[in-house]
Amino acid sequence: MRILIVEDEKKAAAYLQKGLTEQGFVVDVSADGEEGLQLAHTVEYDLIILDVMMPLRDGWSVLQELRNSGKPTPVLFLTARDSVEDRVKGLELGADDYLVKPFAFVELLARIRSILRRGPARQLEQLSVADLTLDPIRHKAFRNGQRLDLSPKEFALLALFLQRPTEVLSRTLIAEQVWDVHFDSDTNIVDVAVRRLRQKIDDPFPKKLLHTVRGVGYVLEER
Amino acid sequence: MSLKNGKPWSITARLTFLYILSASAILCSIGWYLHLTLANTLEQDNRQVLLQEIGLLRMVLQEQPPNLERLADEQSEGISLPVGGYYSRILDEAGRSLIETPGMESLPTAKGFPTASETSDTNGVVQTIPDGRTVMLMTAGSQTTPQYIIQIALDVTHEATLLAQYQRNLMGALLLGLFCSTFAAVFVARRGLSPLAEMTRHIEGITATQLHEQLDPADWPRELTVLAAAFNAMLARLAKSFAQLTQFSADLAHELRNPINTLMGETEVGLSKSRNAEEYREILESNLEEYGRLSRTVETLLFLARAENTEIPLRLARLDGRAELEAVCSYHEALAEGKGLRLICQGQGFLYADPQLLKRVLSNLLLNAIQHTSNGGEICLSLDLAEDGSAAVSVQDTGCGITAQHLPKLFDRFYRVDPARSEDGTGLGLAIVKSIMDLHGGSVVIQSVPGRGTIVTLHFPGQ
Repeated sequence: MRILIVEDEKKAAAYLQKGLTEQGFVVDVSADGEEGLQLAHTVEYDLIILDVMMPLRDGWSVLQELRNSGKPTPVLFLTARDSVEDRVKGLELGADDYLVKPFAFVELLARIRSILRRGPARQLEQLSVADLTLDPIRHKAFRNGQRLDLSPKEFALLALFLQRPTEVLSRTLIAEQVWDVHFDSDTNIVDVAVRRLRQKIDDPFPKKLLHTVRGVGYVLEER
Repeated sequence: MSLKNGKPWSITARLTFLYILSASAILCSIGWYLHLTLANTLEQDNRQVLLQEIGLLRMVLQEQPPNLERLADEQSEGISLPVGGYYSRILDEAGRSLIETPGMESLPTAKGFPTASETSDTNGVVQTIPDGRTVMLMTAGSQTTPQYIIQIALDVTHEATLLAQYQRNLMGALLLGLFCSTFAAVFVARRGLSPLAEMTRHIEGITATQLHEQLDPADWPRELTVLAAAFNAMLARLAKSFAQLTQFSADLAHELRNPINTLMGETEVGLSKSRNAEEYREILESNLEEYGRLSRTVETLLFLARAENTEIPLRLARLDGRAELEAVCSYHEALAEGKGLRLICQGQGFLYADPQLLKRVLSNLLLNAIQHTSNGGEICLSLDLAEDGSAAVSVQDTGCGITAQHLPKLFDRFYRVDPARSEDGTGLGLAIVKSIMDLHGGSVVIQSVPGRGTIVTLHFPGQ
């Protein structure tokens, strides 16, 4: 998977390149809109990450130029400005997503994956990691063959982790997906909920599956 | 009074203009009156002279046949006068000249004279004759049998010259008067408006640091006291906003100091000697948590700023109140249970609100309640509908309560009842509650009894 980052701030571009390369992407970086546009025309990318405010040519105009020349490459905008008009403008110009600075890196990863995944919807099927399985249709979960007694929200939380194994999920994302809460609150509500889920799925068993990534979020994987 | 396109006239110009207008109207009418009176008097006098002479001639004509010698005597008296000489001509019934004063030839001929009916007994006709003199002509019958016609002319050149002279003088005086009154008007207007200029100077001297400096209404003329009072009120409002802003900036700086200090210190200490990977990891993780806090504070402040400018779109929807309360409870349930608190939802009905903002408001209130209620307590969310379609949502806890002194300041940004507990949250929770309720056009009321608990009531207007 090849990604182009067009970002004039060197430090930001560098950490994005590093982080995304470590996640297995092939990453090119361009420091201004003009060069970015040329690269986007000559190289076939799977995704372009565009900063809005840039010298020579801003993100809007890069996107417009791309779409005018018929390039369908998905575009994710990064910006420090997030007025409603800006969001609407980005989406109207044909951006695929929009992320406001400062953002968590896992948030960016999640958005990138979701853009690249777009296409055939995932089927509801039995989800499993190691000996942990979840049957969304019958609404049941098992660990090591034992039925787990989960509340509806705990079930939803576990389903979220199982749908995205090995992916670090941020607290924001978890709150959004499980409780439909779209604002960051300075609380440990998600931590408490995860701790309670852990008590049921991990504590009775020697092998732990649900791990904390401090300061970032949680990940469900076999280590 | 203003020019069609452009700035309105200056008050000085306006006053000057009106002043000149009225002064010229008064001066002109006085001049016109004086002129008219003088002209009238002179004419009256002349007529009198003519009538008198006509009377004398009539008397002489009583004698039949006419005594031409006496007539000539009578006539010659008129031309010997140095000023205002008069000439006369007597015509018989056939219109032939019987006798006439020498010099009569330069006057209009017998036929050129106006007829008796045109002059009647009292009016004369004033004419300028070719040699430049002005004469008053009068024609009258002799009132004898046979009937003679008396034509008489009075030289009024002198009076006419006098009147013209008088007219010129009057015009000159009038123009001079207008000229002077223009200066007077400008002076008076400037003088009259000087308190305004004085006030402007006073106001110009007020800077941001002296917003408390007020204009004393007693110092100004009555017309300006209202302006001074209004200005004072505006100053007071400005001073208040300014103080709030200053306070807010200071609070914000303080608020940012703590996390930045932690970040700097931790990183510095971390770098001061070589450590193993696990230790570096610890530091970075801890830093990340602080960054998260900073970022949330910034996000929240932006939200507040936007809410204040009503830049946040309000997506009002008809919501099932009970379902919303329960959804928020389920989000906080784990937290409450961890503290041994019971969450209760009461009431049924629909309310009009933005679903995400409603969640945010309720979440903030619930977090406060959970934080300030000790083990075993309970928190009750209830919904009450009024008949007008408005809804009241209240969050009631059995916590420690808030003393009365804090109540008015609770909605201020960064205000904390216990400043030592700055680790808990951003100190912006209730400020957000307030601004979200303002966005909805609703209100929020906090009642509290220390030791017994707090109840926060949100009022959402109906559709």
